[in-house]
Amino acid sequence: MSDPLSIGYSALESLQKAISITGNNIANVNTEGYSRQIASFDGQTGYGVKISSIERNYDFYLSREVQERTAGRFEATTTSDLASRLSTLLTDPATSAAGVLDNFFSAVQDVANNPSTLPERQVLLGEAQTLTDRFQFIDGRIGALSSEINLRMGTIVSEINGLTTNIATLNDKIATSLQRTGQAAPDLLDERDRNLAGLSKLVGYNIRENDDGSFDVNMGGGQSLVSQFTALSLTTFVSTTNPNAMAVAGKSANADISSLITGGELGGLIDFRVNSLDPAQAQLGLVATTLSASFNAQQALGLDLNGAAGTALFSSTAPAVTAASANTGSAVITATIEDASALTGDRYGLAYDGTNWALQNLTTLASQAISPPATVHGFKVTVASGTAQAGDSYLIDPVGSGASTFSVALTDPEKIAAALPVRSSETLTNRGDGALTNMKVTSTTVAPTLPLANALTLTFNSAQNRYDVTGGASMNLAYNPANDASGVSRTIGGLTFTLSGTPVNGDVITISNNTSASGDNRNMLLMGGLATSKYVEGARTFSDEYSSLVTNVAVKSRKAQSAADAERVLLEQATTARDNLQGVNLEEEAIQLMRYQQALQAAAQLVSIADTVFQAMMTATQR
Amino acid sequence: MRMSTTQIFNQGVNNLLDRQSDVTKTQEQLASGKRIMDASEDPAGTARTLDITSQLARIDAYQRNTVTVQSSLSLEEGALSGVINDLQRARELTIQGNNATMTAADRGSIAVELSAILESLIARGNTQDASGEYIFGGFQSGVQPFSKTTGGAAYHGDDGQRFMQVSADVQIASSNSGSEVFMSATAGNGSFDYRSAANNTGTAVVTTTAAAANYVPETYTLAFIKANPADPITYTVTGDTSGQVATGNYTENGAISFANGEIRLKGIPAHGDSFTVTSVPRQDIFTTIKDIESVFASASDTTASATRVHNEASRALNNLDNALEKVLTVQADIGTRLRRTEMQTDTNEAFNYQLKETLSGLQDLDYAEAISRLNIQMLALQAAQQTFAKTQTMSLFNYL
Repeated sequence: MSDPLSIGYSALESLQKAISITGNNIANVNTEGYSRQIASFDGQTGYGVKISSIERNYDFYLSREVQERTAGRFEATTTSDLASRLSTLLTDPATSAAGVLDNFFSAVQDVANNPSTLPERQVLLGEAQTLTDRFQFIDGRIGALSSEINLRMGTIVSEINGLTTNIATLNDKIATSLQRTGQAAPDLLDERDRNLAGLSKLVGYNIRENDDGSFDVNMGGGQSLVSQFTALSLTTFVSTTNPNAMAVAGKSANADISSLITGGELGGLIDFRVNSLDPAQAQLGLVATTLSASFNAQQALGLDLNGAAGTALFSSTAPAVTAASANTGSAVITATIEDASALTGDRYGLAYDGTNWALQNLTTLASQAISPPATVHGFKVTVASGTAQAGDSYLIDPVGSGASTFSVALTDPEKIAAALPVRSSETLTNRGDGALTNMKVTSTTVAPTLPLANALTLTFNSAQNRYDVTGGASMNLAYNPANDASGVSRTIGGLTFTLSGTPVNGDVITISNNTSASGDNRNMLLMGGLATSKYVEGARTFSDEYSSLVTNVAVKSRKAQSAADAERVLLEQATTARDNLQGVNLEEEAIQLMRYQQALQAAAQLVSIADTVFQAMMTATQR
Repeated sequence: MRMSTTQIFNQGVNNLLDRQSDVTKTQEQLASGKRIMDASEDPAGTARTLDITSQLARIDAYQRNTVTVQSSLSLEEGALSGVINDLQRARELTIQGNNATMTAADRGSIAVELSAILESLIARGNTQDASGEYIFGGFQSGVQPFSKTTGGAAYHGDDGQRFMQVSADVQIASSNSGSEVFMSATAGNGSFDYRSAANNTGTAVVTTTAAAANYVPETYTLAFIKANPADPITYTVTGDTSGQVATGNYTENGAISFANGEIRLKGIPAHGDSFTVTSVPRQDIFTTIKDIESVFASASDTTASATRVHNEASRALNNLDNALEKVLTVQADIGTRLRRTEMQTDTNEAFNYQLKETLSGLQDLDYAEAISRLNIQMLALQAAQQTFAKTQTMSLFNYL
């Protein structure tokens, strides 16, 4: 049994300590991640009181929930911010390609209305220039977003490395403090939580607690970030599937683990690049490539104002082929666009296993065997030189650079090929009304090649029910006026036309070179028709494709936006739940202070009474 | 329930921020008048907006095209009206010149006027539009299509006809080639035409001609023979390649049948008189005018000359009627095309209106709704501000 004085002293000491803990709580009311500390009093049977431990108001699962929601929220906001910038770029009238595409097609119509005058042609070239400038601008902005993502990824990875190093160090300190005192220091635990909270803004992860109090931190796919007292640093390197993008590597250098990363800013950046930015750039490239190819093809089938065969209106580069750096063979692979309307906008991987070549669509992952030179999905793959070794691989990007290299090749407005290379005429001495209309040119290189060396003469032969073709070609075209008078399509080489009416034996129709035909707008009408033709993948118009690009981005942006909203609510809920347990409430601390103050006063009274008793005893025994 | 002080504060702040952003968004909508501020707010709406905007741009272009079609066709119609006037005047002059009371001098002055009409027709054939294009040149709109020749005029253009896109799937021709308008009028009865020999001395004049579908086209010579004054007048029809195809006694208004065609004449042919039957299906307007002009110009006051004038005038009248019919057909066709263009303009306009309505529904803000929303949001913001300010002043520490 101890004396009241020492009991009073133990009480005074403990309560003072408790008051300073409360004071510490009050001081940290605004400290992010601070867990309220509670003095735990322990009665010493007969010997007063002592503070046995300082408890933290803390729940592992509530904190974990906050970390996970933080990772979710930061991923969603990162994606949604970037997607919203991209969709604004694509839809804002000042930067969108939709308006300039419409203007370009209107200018085509105007040339069709006035094929012989230069101002309309000049306007068309101007609109074409605006169009290609706009595509290049959008592509440039997409490139800038891509560089920004690369840069941010680099920064984030070094931030992650810093945080994981901290966590590993704190793991060590916590384990030591636990071992030494049997209780881990609350401030160290708070510090580690703060580092984890910072990490969850950058990337999503899982935690496993070890017996020594240390945490193992793993990313998705089991990639370790912290293992007990060791941090494993991440690195970035240039992606093998996209030369413009950075990829993240973990333990083994140059092994791309980007696809395993989810959550946090890093997860958001990777998600945005893979699911929004890359497809958008490819789709934009597809629009540019198909526009360029279709107009150039139509130009080639026409005649310009000087009567020369049309040359390319637009220029854009051939598909990009990148050889893997690990290749051992010497093969040089080239790819050229053969049929733009069959292009898909996807990237392809080409691999050689020593005997066979396999082409894989990197979006759908569908693989097929090919033997170069071979034309697939609209482009032709050729081994230009050298030989490949087993294991060699190549990345083929048919349209990725389509928008960045999209430009106008013509400078002379006279070179717009508004006319068709041939015209037909019915001889005035014809007795019947046989007519040739609807002339279409599908090729200028199929015999009889254009321009025609000799005019084609179609002479009706009533005995045989056919037109005998002489001159530039020697053949005959079946034509039975009894059945065909309302019109039937016939072909000579690259020329297709409709024959109609009732010709009389010997009637002649000639097809000749369309010389000095400055007033012919037939080819221009066909170019105008491209505005509404379902050219892209044979299913969509150019405008459709652009608006589908916008829709894709907008839908992603919308999804990210609503995910961000949902994650915000979830994070608020999780934070509230955690802080309700862990945070400091000033009212509570005020009451606590009052309580301790009263107890302190009482303990002081106890000391004073003990003193009084002592004095009384001294007085009583003093004689 | 226990709440941390920071949490109470943060919730107040979050509440305020939320209310503020609501108000700002509505303000932005009101300022711009647009419902969709960002594509992500309504992806489907944005896609439709883009689609409709480009459809509107296309309709705009089509409407411009219809205007061009209308002005081209109006210009052509004007030129054709001139051609019709010229042809009608030529017809009047021919009838006048055919009159038996006309003297050689009268016919000479008619020939002068016909010659002026020929010039006028050539000029009309060379009509240019505002940008200097020859409207009757076919595809060769930069080449002057008609030039004067000794036989009338020559055509240097082609059969090309320009079409314009007036809607996504309708093209309307905005021109006709000179060969169609000026060069391809039916000659004679469509199977053959005739000319009287310049040195005929009889009074035989062709009245009617006809040809069956199986008429054998060739150049024939119809010759009259009356070797002795007592002999009956006989005729022979001889083809250039097939030789003599018909022969018989001439009777006035009797049918002379040959190669599934027939000619009837009145008057009495003299021995040695002849007619040439040409099997050309078409004759250009200029040749028709030139032919009759030269007949009038070279007319004299003899019976033989008068007979020739009668023959040639009746032939010319027939060919002028054919030419008029041709031009009137083209003109009627232009009228139809103008009407179609007009209808297309209306259709385009109606479609344009519809699209603009839809676009407005997609894009435009409902002001009444937005303003009342703004009021409610501002009220909510005010309430949040007031409660925040009030509750923040409450603390137990005030009483310690």
